[in-house]
Amino acid sequence: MKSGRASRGAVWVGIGDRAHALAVRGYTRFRQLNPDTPGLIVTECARARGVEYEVVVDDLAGATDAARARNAKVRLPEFAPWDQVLYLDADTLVNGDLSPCWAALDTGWELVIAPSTNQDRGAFWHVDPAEAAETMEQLHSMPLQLQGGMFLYHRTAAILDLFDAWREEWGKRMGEDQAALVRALHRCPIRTWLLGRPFNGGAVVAHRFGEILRND
Amino acid sequence: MWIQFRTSKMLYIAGKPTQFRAGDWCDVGKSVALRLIETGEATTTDITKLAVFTTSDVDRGIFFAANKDRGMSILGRILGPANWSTELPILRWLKTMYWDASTVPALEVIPTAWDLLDRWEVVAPLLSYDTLAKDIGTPEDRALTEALILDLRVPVYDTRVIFLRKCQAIEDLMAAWAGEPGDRRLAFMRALWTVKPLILSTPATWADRGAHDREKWPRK
Repeated sequence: MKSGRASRGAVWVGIGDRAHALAVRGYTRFRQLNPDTPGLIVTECARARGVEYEVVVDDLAGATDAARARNAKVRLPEFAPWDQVLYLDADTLVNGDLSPCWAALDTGWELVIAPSTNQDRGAFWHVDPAEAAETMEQLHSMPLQLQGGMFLYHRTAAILDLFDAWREEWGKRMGEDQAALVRALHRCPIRTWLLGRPFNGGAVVAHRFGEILRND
Repeated sequence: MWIQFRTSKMLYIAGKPTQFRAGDWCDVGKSVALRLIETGEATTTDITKLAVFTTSDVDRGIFFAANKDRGMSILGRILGPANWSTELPILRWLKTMYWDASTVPALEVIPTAWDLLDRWEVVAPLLSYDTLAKDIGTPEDRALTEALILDLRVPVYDTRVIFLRKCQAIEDLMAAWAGEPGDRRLAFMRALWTVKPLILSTPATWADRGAHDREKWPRK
């Protein structure tokens, strides 16, 4: 069990102008509420605007921005230098207190994440049907779908294994990342504490699904 | 009668058109079920074909936490005398299904659960996708829980069906759970927070096949 002295930081991925602008918005709000917790934005080209830390990842050139963003997400431990990391999709906005989530990591949970609101017949609705079918066949049953747009992790050996597996599973199709996360988790058991919807799509962390694609 | 669709199918359920995908389950009237099974559009669970237990298997068993007679009426045909108990200790087998048979789990997931216990220490379904710890128990239960886990806006488990591996972490978990007062679901959350076993959360339908249809669907 780690003490409360573990280093902490938050990461957004903003690939493309729209996603980057939203990530900056999320970063700015987060830093207003959490001035003592650093953050960084992973993006595809240098364009820091009011962001203290920026990491440029320019691989997968030619792929879509969405694919490049997921490629960065599944490689988070390469970029995030902290013991404890909060990941937030660019279309999220922190509005509340995340201290219970950090406390979960402090007390020994390794991954803190919310289930998706779409389960059972609604699970993997956005995932390529072939990948969804392959996932269920591989796992021999319908798993709990997790919402990968907001989560926290503690950098343990098991977590690094999970990210390795997630990267490998996502790399098979380079589509959405949620089914790949579930497959990776089944390969690499992790001490996981679940959050409710207020932490991903609710009062604490708003999640404006699809905002990156809208031109408003 | 529960059936599993083999193809996509639209049925009227409680007067509403409901689309099912291959693999979905639904509780329908017997005549509808038999018609769909006859046409090959659906199938049903033959528990004798499930690899829940083998005749020589003494490493897996069911601990009936409650409603043993109902549980035996469902799975009794495939349970040997060494495969079930109502007496402590709960963890008498290498892999245990802890079951309050007031609910009927998705039987076809039981073999999967046994396999998952090779890697996970406990496999447990969520109670629902909407109900959080803040929504259940008494004010005293909630205060006790919040003092430990700090925030009650978290999902809780359906503690009527839990799969357990016999190991020190789960011995500790069950001892901690037994020692916690009040609502058993919140007590389980406190025990989890204290012990922090490797827990795999599974869909609510694992413990209650009808759970999906009682949620607030469709969602955004």
